[in-house]
Amino acid sequence: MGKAIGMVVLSLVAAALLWVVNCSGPRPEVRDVRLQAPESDGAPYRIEVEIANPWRGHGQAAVTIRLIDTDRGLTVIEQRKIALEPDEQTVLVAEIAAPPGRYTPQVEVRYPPR
Amino acid sequence: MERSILRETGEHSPQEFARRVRWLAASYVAMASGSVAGIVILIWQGALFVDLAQRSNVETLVLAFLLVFFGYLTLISAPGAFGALRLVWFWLRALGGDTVLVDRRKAAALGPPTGPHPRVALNILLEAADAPGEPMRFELHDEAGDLGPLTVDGAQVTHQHAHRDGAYSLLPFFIHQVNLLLRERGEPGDVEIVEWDSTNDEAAALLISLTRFARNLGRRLGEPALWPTVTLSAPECHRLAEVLTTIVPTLRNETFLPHWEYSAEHKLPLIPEPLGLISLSRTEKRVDPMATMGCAVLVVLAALAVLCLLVLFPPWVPGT
Repeated sequence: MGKAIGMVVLSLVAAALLWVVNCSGPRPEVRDVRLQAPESDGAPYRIEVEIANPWRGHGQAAVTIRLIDTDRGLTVIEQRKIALEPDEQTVLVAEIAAPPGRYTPQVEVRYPPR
Repeated sequence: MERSILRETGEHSPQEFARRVRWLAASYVAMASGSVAGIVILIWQGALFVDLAQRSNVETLVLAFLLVFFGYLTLISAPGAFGALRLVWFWLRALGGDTVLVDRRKAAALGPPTGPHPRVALNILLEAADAPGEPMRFELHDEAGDLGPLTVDGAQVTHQHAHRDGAYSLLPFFIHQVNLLLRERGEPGDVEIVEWDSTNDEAAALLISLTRFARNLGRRLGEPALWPTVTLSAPECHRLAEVLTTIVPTLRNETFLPHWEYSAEHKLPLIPEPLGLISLSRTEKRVDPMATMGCAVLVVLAALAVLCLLVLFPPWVPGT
């Protein structure tokens, strides 16, 4: 009886480990955000987001970029989807057509994507 | 195996009986805390679970089902968890103190009897050798108080409880002790509880009436043993009374816990629905609360483990 229970517990732990190793999604995190103002009138803002997936899972993540102009209370939002491989570090470059202003960038990366 | 796991869980000796009550109390606490933790995780990580459900083609209503499931089990286990905490409180007060005084306080805290007396029907008539045809009475009391007598009247065994709703688990324990005595005599020891008031009171009442009819008929015909009868000698009755006295403190503890009495059915569909051509099933008329609550605790802990796994390691889901 004890052996049988032990085997069941061992099987459950093994299944949980295999699940974690082979079936889990990524764990994306934002490492760095750089915002470049447009060099000419009418040109878009360029934002570079360094995103890392230090986990062995893979899958699609959703990136939400917010340019917040606190002076005017204005927020410009851009959404992107990226596919992340295990232990991958990537740079997402986005060009956002936003009216001129003093923007602070805010980036959120989310898994699973909505 | 089903006898030791489902019907008579930990009811073979006074020590096992005491251990069983401790495990039962612990299982109520585990079930209540696990269910509350499940509700908290579902609400706290609700957005994640909805995302996962939507992305993986799992019906989002499953989350509502889990909420109802955890809520139901919280309601079921809350009185037991409260009773277990009260037992811990009494245990702490008894440390290095007067245990009899603490047991008296327990008895006072339990209050008067409520509900019908726990009653079962046996497959045979049980009689005392020195008073055939008369009810037997085993007092359940110790220095701290009285728990009400256990009476055996032919096939009917009743705990005439003095506090709350009594204890059904006392009855299989008693029958197990009777069987031990019979085996010591070299007899098969196959006295069985065949009907339980808690799960089917009509069938129990019918069987008890039938055995009384057989008794009356036997008396009229001058043939007393029409219905199979087991007779206990005076020393055997004395030994039974002694064993029952040893479990009085444990029974008092168990009375703090609710008695969820259930029957059980195990089904193994070999060819599952919608065809359902072959299905194996087995039923038990009454399952010990330790078995049912123990299973419920395992299910709650397994569900909780899966939820934690999904939160800590969200699974891969297809992208858009």
